[in-house]
Amino acid sequence: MTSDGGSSAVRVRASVLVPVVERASDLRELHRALAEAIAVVAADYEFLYLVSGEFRAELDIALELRQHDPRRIRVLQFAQPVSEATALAEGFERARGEILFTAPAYFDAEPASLIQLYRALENGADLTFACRTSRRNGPVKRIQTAVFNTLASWATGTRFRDLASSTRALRREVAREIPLYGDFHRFLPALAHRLGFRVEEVPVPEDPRARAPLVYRPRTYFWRFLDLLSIFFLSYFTRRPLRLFGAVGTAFGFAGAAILLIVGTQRILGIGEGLAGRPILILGTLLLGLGVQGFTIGLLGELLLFFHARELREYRVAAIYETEAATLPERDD
Amino acid sequence: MTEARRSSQAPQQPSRSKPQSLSVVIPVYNEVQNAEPLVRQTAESLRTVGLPWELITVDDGSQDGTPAALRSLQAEFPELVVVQLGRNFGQTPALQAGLDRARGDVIVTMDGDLQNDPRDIPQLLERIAAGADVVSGWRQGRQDALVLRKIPSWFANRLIRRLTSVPIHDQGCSLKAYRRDVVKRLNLYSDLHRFIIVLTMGVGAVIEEIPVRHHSRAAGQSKYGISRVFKVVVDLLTLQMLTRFQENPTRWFALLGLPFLIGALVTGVAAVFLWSESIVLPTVSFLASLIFASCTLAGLLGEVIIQTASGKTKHRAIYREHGAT
Repeated sequence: MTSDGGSSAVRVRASVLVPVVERASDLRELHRALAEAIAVVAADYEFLYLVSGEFRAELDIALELRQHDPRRIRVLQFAQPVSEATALAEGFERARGEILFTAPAYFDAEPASLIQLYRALENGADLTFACRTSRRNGPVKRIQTAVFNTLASWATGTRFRDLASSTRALRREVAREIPLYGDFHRFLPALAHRLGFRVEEVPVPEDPRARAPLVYRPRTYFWRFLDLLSIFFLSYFTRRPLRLFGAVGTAFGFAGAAILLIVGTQRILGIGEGLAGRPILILGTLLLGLGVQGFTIGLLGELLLFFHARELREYRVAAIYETEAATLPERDD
Repeated sequence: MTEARRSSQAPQQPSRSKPQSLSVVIPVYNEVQNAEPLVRQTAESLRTVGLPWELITVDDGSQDGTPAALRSLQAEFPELVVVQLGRNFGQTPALQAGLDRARGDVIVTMDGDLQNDPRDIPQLLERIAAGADVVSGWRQGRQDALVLRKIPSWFANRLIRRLTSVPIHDQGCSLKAYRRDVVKRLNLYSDLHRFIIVLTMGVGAVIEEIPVRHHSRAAGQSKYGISRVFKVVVDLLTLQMLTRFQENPTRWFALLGLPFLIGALVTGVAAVFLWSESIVLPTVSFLASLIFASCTLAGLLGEVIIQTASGKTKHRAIYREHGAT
């Protein structure tokens, strides 16, 4: 099965995952370029084309590629349209390589950058991704990217410049541990970092054939914003929801209580009209109610964690060093 | 010799009171200078106990070569275990990592900065052997900065004691000993290690406190700041509410909404009797009753959360069965 190129033992089995989602360039051309790069670093490799439901034409091309090289090319067709994260989660499960690469189905970072990403893994990193430099984009695109990356690094507490880049290389165990769903592929490096893996950004040039759309549909921006909000919450408050909800609740609650207190005092002192003539009373009640709601939601979150996440651990052990002779016997309780 | 053997076969010495092995768990973070004396002094103290033991150091992502320093000591101290975490996760997760790996009947926790004295460990063990579930150290002649460490700590201890009725003077002392079954009922996350005594009390542990020595920091940097006082207060409130909600969430959530119910009734009655043209009072009344309703509904959701928890998490109280072998 393995066709060892006869070279050094350093060369490994690799899987290249290409999720065909959102948009795609000419897969034949792309495949040629990627295969050329991957052959440099991997003794044996496989390609997994993860084709989202709506890409009929691309599916045919992928199947045609597979006919030429059925041993190295696998095609996974999803029954419905899926996100990159869903496609990758499935791909990670089915990939057979020790090192996994992900590449977009369109020209983006230079295909040869896979080699650089692999070299960084060799030097000890667990996940590396391509930071696309020399992007020949206009100011509109550049501003969008800059805003997203600034917000993302703030939301995740990491300092990466091109978090959303789809060209990545990672070790198998990293892929196994990252919970990937929804649109979280954009934060994959941040998720890995949070689990205590060594994540590195490798600056690479952009492919001359890269074509990104200038602006997206309005709803895309709204989804992005919500993604940032969820990743922010998950990064800082997963185990302590009440710290966030309680803080927000306290702020609203205080505002509401202050209004009610002022209106009430004025009424008692006989200043101004009767309560029936003070519409601000409605605002005060609303704010106070909102504050209490914040608290109740936070408390429900705490209850949920306390009772259902007892097995969840916040740490990840990288290694345990122990001498075999002198350890106490293992126990199961 | 034979006498001793006979007495050990005597009926029903509850197994709780006879620890057979000992684990010491020490989270360390950038303590390269303290590593060697820490392991050496702890090992010296443990060898006097006469039980099989292990020393588990949890490296919380140090950048100063602490793990390498620890591993180099393994040849001399084969009982030393080095658990290396993926990055710096914080003191609570590091401690939990060590507790998860610990295999002894008794588990002792300690700081990695040698401010605790390992020579106190045998004393703690004695109290456990005498029947305590948890023994906490009480630092005598505390060697820390007054304003940044002692005063916040005094304040936090007072607050915790007032709110939780925990009979302990010095919650912040890391030197503590636990029976294994107590530790296995805990799940420490976020900053919960500060409330470990409150948590063990929540499962019904017998808690004792004994005076222990305390030294000033010989080497390395202190990793505490004053900002933690605020978090302590928030966490404490959470914990209090959690341990009380546990039994009856609907009641407690409804209690949270009770002021709104009262407000709704008062404004409702006022609206009816005043019969004014204004819609202010009826609106306030509707709003307030809505909020009360949603609080109560949240309580019902809480019931679902607790009901659906697996059996392992439900029966968390420690029990002693009398007359069992």
